[in-house]
Amino acid sequence: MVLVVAVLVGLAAGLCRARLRKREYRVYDLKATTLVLLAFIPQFFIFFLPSTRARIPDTTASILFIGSLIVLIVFSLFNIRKPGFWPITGGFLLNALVILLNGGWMPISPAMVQRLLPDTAANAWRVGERLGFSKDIVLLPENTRLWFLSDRFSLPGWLNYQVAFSPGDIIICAGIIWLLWSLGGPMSETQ
Amino acid sequence: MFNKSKESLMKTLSSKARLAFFMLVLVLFTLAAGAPFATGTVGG
Repeated sequence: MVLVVAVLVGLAAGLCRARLRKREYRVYDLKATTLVLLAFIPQFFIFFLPSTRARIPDTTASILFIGSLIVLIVFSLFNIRKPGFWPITGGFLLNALVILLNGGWMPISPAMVQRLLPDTAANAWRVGERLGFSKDIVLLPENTRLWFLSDRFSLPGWLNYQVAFSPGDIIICAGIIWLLWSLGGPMSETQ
Repeated sequence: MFNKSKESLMKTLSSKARLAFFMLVLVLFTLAAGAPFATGTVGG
């Protein structure tokens, strides 16, 4: 969700920039776009569709998730020379690295889970197991490889919506905002 | 003149379609790159 907010913020900023300078908001052609759809389809069934996500075993889901990450890495590498794709690819690789090193899921600490889900029953999650149907696995920081790259940040408490995110996500957000901002700039910025 | 305005309309539609496609790819990419975070409801 944080990344979708970055898309909206970047798009609004880029459109305003283009309008203020009386320029056209230009998009460039991305390479290998089919790969994005190919990567999203398994994730749709693993994480989003209620009728399938409950039936897919965690091991299978983890394998499919890692497979989709690899496809997305290939897509990022195809487009790495486009504006904003350096940080997007970099942040994405950091996320993929910590996921690959921790059994195919993004680690999250028990303290962070308690912060995000204060009203959830104590037996709703366990250390060492996947957190619901999310991409996260609850792990103690001392048992987490590259803990500092895990889902260790959350939004300020005064916001109604609580979510955990990683340093890689922050870098991806910065890249997305830069990318969408650059599309409202002079042509030299998008080439 | 009619051809010119038609051409301009086609160009506008084409650029809007390109923008829509670009945004669709970007949103799908961000959804897949982020995957669902741990949020307010377990499994929700």
